[in-house]
Amino acid sequence: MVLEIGAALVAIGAGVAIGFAGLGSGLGQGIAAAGGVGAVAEDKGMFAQGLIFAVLAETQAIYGLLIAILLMLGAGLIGGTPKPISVAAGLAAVGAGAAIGFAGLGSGIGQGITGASSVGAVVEDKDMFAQGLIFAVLSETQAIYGLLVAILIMLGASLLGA
Amino acid sequence: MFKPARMKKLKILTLDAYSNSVVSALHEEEIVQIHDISERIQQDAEWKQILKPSKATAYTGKLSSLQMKTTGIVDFLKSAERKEGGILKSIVGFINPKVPEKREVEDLGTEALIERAESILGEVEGQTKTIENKINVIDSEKNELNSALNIATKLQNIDIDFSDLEDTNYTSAIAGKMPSAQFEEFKKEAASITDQIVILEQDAEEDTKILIVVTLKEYGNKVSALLRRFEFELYNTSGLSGKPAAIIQSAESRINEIDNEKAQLMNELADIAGKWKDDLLVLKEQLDIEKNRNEIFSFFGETNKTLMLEAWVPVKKADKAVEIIKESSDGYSIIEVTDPEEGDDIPIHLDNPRFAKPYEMFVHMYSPPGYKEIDPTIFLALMFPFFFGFCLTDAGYGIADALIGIVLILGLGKVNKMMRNMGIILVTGGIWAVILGFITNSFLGNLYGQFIVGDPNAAVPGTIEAVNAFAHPDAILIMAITVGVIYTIIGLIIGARNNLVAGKTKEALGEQIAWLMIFVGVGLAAASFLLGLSSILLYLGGALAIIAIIMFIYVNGPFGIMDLMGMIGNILSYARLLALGLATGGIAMTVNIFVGLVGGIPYIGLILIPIVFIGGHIANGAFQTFGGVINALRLHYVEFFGQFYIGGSQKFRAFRTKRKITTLGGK
Repeated sequence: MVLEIGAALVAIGAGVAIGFAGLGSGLGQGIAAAGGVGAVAEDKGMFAQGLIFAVLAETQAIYGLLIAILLMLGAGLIGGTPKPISVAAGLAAVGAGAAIGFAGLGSGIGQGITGASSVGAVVEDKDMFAQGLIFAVLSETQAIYGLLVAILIMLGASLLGA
Repeated sequence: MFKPARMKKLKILTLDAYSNSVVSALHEEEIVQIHDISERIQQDAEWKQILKPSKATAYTGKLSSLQMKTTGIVDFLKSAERKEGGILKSIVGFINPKVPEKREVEDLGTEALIERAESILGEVEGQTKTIENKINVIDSEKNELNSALNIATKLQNIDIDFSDLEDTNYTSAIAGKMPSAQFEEFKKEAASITDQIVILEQDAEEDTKILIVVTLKEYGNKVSALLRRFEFELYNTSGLSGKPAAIIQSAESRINEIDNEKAQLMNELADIAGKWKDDLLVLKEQLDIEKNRNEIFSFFGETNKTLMLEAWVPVKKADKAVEIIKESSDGYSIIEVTDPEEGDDIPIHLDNPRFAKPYEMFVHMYSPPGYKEIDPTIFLALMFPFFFGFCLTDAGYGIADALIGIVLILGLGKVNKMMRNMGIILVTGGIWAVILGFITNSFLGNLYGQFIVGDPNAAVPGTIEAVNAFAHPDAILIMAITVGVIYTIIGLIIGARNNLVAGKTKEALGEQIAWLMIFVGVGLAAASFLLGLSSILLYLGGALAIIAIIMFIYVNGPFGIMDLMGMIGNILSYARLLALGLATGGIAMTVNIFVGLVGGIPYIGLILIPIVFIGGHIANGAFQTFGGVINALRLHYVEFFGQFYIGGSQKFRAFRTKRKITTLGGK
């Protein structure tokens, strides 16, 4: 089986999508979890809340994973034999991957920073949980924009579920 | 509805003789919030001349100490209770929890309650104290035995009587452990201190040696100092006598006896717990209520013969409050019912129809509205489930959420109001997810097509092709943005109304009305352009938008135009409804693909299929449900509330008895 350049570009797109989104998610989650560990040391009852704030930053990796899998499916890289993909469509796939990958990178780190601060705030005042959650979710908007643009690119390039 | 409950302020003056009965009656009725006037008495010269601040009653300290004592005994007896059932019992307890039966009690009055509490606690302590002391004694003996057992086990291969390791007038003995690698070096240095030294050695685990070092008393300190340099771990053998094997045997046998004794004592405690638990819990609730009632006096003012208090009450309950005050004071009271005055910090009591009540907690979580502000609970009640369903957009997960909601309502909801509210929210949100999931072709992703029909692209029955999520996500995007525009317009209308009511006409023009004109203008122009309607509409819309922009710049200045980006961002933010909905279906589809892949593995595949399928969908469903709640809440707090909401008021907190397991006789 010879992989055409179009399909290879789709694979790069998929890699960029999950690679960068995962990088952002991992860093963000690490930052939030570090705050969570400190909070649990202060108050053992903070475990569940700390975990929720740490888990928040995982969404970006999930969006990246989603786009990566949809791209691979679209190009037949999984679940069948590779389909003929034009170079232009392959480049569009790289664009889609970059959209969610980089949006996820920034968004994940941002969310992690807010998550860590929110955990600290909740240790001080339990009523801060809801407000902290909302502040932490603000950064996710950028990842959602990235996800949206990635989906629209794939739709435009006929890569979605084809 | 749409506004917080109207409030009245009660100013009550009553004779001292009736103060307790008035306070008790208000406490049991749970309809007023007591307003603290002590500070005003201190600061207002006129008030200071007439009144002095009242204090919590003299019984408060005693009640507090009895309350703590009761809590301590309840906790102690809880630890001794016999535990029944296992996981199954916990699940049944969640699905169908036991509703506590309320015990009828009488209002004893503070002194009688204190007397009763002392009598009950005395009787319980009389029974528990001896057992508790015995437990403490045997626990401490067990600790000592464990320590002896530990040392004896470590030295069991050395045939020595521990009594020989006691220091004598002429010798000094030390037992302990040292890394094997350092032993030779230690021996050499020890020999340089003295040759009057005996070292017994025994190889132990992890490259260490057990040592017993005996030397003349005069070299004892020097040898000890030397041992410390060689990472020597000292075993404390003082007080032990006999050979290790004998110590191990006797310690193990005594520990067994102690365990049996303790089990018997715990059994006796469990009997006492079973006998007294309900009485103690009732007593605890009575003490809580009585303490709260005695403390509230610090909020009042007083003269030599009278007591003055102020309270907030919702208008609907003001007559009832006046009636019970008159009744409980035999008419010896003066009650003034007034409207809130300018500058009053009016507590906010949300008053919504039954269907919207569960959503009041979301408004409180953000911050209660101002007294004259619009209460957005109804909007939340109508739109939150829709947004949640839109974020989830999967019929399978929607059904699961609705079922969990039903279990919550029928189970924990019986004893916990918050759980009931969460249940209602999950059911309504779940129903929307089912509706939207079916019309947009998502039931656990493409489960229907992949596993039932055998064609991954086959649509679920009920799918409306125009909004089939993976075929026409653009249509769903338009839906999401349209919802966003409509909801933003509603927010702007409310904001304009709030500003106009507050007399802030300029703000209303610049912050809301100009935006509304822009929306109408753009809408008219778009309708003319897209639907091919009369070009007059295009010009009219354009003109309206231009006038609005001029108005906008006039009120907000040239930099106000920057707000345009903010507004576009707000509306685009609603696109998350599409993105999250597609993510749910997409990840569910991914789980299905993995199920297909592991299904291809011979033999092991049969085991992996249910694990991947159930685990994957539970994880995705839980994560997306959590995301749905958070994002639906965010669209309200950030995008919708941002158009009009100020909030920042204090919540109405009724002076309540919080009776959970007691009921007052005749009530």
